[in-house]
Amino acid sequence: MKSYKLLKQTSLFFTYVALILFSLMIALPVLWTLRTSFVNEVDAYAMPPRLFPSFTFDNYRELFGNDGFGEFLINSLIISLASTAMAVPIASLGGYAFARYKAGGNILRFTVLATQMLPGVVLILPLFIVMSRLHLSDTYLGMTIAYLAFNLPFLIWIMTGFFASIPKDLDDAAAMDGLTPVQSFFRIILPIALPGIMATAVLSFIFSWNEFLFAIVLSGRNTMPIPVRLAAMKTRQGIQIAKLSAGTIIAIMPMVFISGFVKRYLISGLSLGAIKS
Amino acid sequence: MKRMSFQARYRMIGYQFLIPTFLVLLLVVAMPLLFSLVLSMFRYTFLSPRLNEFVGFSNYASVVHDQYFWNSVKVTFLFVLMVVPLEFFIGYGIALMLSRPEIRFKSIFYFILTIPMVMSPVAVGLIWRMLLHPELGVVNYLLGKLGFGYVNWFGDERLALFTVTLVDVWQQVSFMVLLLLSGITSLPKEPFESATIDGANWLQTLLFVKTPLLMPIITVALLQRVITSFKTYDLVYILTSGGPGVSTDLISYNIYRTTFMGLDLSVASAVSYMLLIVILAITVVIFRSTMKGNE
Amino acid sequence: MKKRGLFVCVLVVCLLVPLSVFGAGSKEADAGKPVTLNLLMEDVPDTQIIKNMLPEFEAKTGIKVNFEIVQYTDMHTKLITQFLAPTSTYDVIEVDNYWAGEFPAAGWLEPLDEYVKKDNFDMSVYVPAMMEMVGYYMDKLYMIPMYNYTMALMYRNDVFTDKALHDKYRKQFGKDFAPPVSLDEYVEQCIFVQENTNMYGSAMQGGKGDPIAMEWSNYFFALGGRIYDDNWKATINGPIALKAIELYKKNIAQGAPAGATSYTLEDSLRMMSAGEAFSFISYNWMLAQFQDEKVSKLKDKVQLVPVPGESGLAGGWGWAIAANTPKKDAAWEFIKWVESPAVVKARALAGGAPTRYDVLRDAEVLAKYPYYSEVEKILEKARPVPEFEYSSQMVEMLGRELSLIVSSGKDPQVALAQLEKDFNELAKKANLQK
Repeated sequence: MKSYKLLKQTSLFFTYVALILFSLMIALPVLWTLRTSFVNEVDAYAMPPRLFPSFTFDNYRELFGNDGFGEFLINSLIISLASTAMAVPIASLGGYAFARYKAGGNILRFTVLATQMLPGVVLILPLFIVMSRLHLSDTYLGMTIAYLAFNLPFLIWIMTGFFASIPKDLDDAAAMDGLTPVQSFFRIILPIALPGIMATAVLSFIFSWNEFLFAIVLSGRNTMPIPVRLAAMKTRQGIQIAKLSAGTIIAIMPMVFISGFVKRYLISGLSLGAIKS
Repeated sequence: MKRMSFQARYRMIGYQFLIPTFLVLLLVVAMPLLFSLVLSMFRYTFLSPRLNEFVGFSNYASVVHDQYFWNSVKVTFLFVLMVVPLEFFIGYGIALMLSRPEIRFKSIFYFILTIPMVMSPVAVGLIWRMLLHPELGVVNYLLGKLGFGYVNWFGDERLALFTVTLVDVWQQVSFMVLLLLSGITSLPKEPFESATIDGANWLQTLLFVKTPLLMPIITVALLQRVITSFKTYDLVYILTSGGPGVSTDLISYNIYRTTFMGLDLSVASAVSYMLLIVILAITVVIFRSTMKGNE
Repeated sequence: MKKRGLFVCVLVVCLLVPLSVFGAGSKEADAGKPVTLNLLMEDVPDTQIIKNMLPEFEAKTGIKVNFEIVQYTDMHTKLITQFLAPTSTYDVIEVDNYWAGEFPAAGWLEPLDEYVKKDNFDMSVYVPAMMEMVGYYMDKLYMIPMYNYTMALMYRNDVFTDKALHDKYRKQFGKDFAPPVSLDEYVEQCIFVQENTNMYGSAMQGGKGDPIAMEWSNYFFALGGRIYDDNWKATINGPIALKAIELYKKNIAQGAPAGATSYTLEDSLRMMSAGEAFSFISYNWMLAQFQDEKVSKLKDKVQLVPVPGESGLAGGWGWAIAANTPKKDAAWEFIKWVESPAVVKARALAGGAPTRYDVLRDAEVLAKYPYYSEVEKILEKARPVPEFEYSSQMVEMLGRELSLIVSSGKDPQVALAQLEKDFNELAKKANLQK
C-alpha cells in the first residue's frame, strides 16, 4: 500500500510539472503581449529585450479615445452573445435528433457538416449579395445570423457527441415513466448534458468572437467587431504592435468572466451529482 | 399520425428537432454554396461578373495543370498531418491531467490554457511574428543566451512550415483541452469504479474504458480540427505569405489569392469544390474508423 | 402538451429572423437629411490628420464624413464586393496604385475630367509621374493623387565618416568610401559594411510576395529594366533582369540579416530604427521617423537619395469616386477640399507625403522637411509597376518566383522564362496584347 501511495505521489508530482510547463508555454507569450501593451511603439522591439524600456498607458488611451475601441467591444459582445443565445438551443435540439433518433442517418449528418468544408473566401461574395439584398449588411441581425449559420454545423456535431455519450437507458427509463420525448429531453437529458452544453456555448461564443472573414465583408461602421479592427493595425506603413497588444489584451477580458462562470460545469463535474440522485 | 409505425414516428420526432437547424442553414448557407458550385462551371470574375459563359469543367482542368496547385496540396496535407495529431495528443494529455481529482488550482490552469482560443488569429500571427523575429525577437534572444544557435524561423525554407505548425498548435491546443475536458467531466463514474475493482491499471482504464467512452467527442474534435486546418489561411497570410518560396503555401491561402488578386471567382470555386471532396472523404474515413463499434 | 409549446417557441425564433429582414428594408429615403459620405481608410497618420480637420469641411459644406478603418488588404476585399452591389456604401475611394488599373478598367470609378473642368480644379501642380500613376488610366482622369509611396535609398551617413572604415575600403577597392552612384557599388558597400562593422549592410525585405517584388523592382528599374514594353509585351526575361537577380541574391546572402528572406517592410523598418543596419530601400517618407528625436536615436544620421541608377519604384494613393454611389457631387466636394492648397499643406506639415510641387516647394514645408527637394527628384525619377487589371496578380507572381530564387535555389533563367510566359498571358487576358 505504501508503494502505491508513493507511486501516486510521484505521478501527481509529474502531472503538476507537466501542467505548469504547458501553462508557462501558453502564458509567456501572452504575458509578453501584456508587457508590450504598456510600452511605446518604438520600444516594443527594443534590443536586447527589456521588460519595461518605457511604461505608458498611451496604447490603451488611444484605443479607447481616438479609435473608439469601446464601440467595437460592444459590437463584438452583442453579436457573439446573440448568436450564442440562438445557437445553443438549436444545436441542442439538432444534436439530440442525430444522437437519439438517428434522424436522416449519417448522410444527413455529413451534409450538415459539409456546409463547413468550403473555404469561406468563395462564399463571401454570394453571402454579401444575399445580405445586401435583404438590407442586412452592416446590421447586428445580419452578422448574428451569418455567425449562427456558420457555427451551427460544428455545434450540432459537438452536441451530438455529448448526447451520444449519455447512456440510452436513461431515455428508456423516462419513457417507461410516461414522459414524452420533449419532456425527457428537458428533464432528464439536458441536465446531464450540461457540461457539453456549456462547452458548446463557450465554443459558439469564441467562434463568433474571433470570426474574421465574414466580418470583413458583412460589417461596416455600425457593426465592426474587434478582429477586423485589430487586423487594421497592420498597415502599409508598418504594424502598430503595441496598440495591437493592448487591443488583444482587452479582447481576452470577456473570457475571464466566461471561464469564471462556466468552470463549475466544465471542470468540477458538478452535474454528475445531479444524475446519480 | 396514428397509422405510422413506431419506427417512423420515432424518426419523425427526430426530424422535428432538426427543423430550426435547416431553416437557418437554408436561409444563409445553401444559397452561397450552390452559387459557388454554379460559378465553378462558368467564367465569372470580379471584372466581368456575369454568368454568360458556361465552361463546364475547364476551370477544374486548368487547376489540375497548375504546378503550384499540387505543391499547395502537398504542403496542406503535411500541415494537417502535423497539426491535428500534435494538437490532439497534447490536448488530450492536458485534459486527462486536469481531470485528475487530486489536482488543485484547476481553474487557474484551465484559464491560462484556454486563453489562446480567444485571441484573434490575426493578432496571434502578428504577436508571434514579433516574438520570433529572427534578429529582434525575444525567442531568438533567449535561445542565444541559453547557448542555442540562431534560428531563422520564417526565412528558412525547411523550417517555415514547422514554425507555422507550432504557432497553430499553440493556439488550437486550447480547443482540444476545452472540448475533451468537458467530455471527460460528463462521463459517468460507474465504469471506472468497476474497472478499478477488476484490477485494471491506469493505462488499461484509459485505453479500454475512458477513450472508448469519449470516442464521440474525440471524433468531433478531430473532425473539427481536420476541417478547419484544411481551411487555414489567415495564419499563413500573416506569418509567411506562403513563403519562403512556396514552402508554406496552404491551399486555402492559394484560393484566397486566386479570388482577390486573380479576381477569378470561378477558378477559386473550382479549387474549393475539389478541396471539399477531399475533406469530405477524409472526414468520412475518420468518422468510420473512430466510431467503429460505437454506432 | 408541452411539446407544442417548445416548437412554437423555436419556430417563433426562426421566423423572427426573416420577418425582421423585411422590416429592415424600409429605411432608405431620407431626402431632407444632410449628406453623409463614407470612406474606407487605413489606420495611418494621414487618416488621423484628415480626421482632425473634418469639422472644418463639415462647417463649410454641411456634409458629414465617416471614416471606417480597416486593413490594407481588407480594403480591397471590401471595395470589390461593394463595387458589385447596386450601390456602394463607400463614396470616396482611396485607390492604391496596384488597383489604379484594375478599378478603372472594371468601370468601378467615376471619370473625373468633367468635374475638374467644371470647377477649374488646378491639376498642373501635381508631379507628372504621380498623375501618370494615380491620376490617369488610358488617358482618362480617374484619380487625384493623394499620397506618395515612392521608394528611395536611405543610408547611415555616419558610416561614411568613419576614418578606419574609409581607409580599409580604399585599400580593398582602390576608391573613396562615398555614397554609392551605382547599384553594383551599393551592393558592394553593403557587403563591406556587414563584414567590417557590427551592423548589417542592408535591412532588406525579402519576404514572399509584395515585399520582395517591391524591393527587387528597385534593383531592376535602377539597372534600366522594364516589365512590359509599350505594346504590353513582357520584357522581364533578359540580361537586365538576370543582373538584377544576381545583385539582389548577392546582397541578401552577404549584405543582409539572415532573416531577411522573410522580412516585410515592417521588419526592415524595425531593423533600421534599431540602428542595426547601414541602409535600406524603403518609402521616402520614413526618413521623418528617424528625424523624430522622441522615437529615434538616428536624427541627422540618415541620408535620403534616389535609388542609385536609372529609376526607383514609384507608389502612391489617389482619391476617386465610386461609379455606383448616388452621392457623387458631395464626394467631389470632399476631394476638392482635401486636395485644396491649404489642406494639402497642413497635411504635409503634419507628416503626410505630398504629391504636388506647390507643397514640395513651399517655404514653410521645406523649413520643416529640408530633404523634400530630394524627394521631388525621387518622385520624378521613379516608375510604378505596370498598371492594368492584373497588377496585383503580376506582383504576386513576381514575388513568388523571386522568393523561390532567393530561398529555394530556383534557377533564375527558368523562373524568368516562366514569368515572361505568365505576364504575356495576363496582358492577353486584359486585352492589352493582340
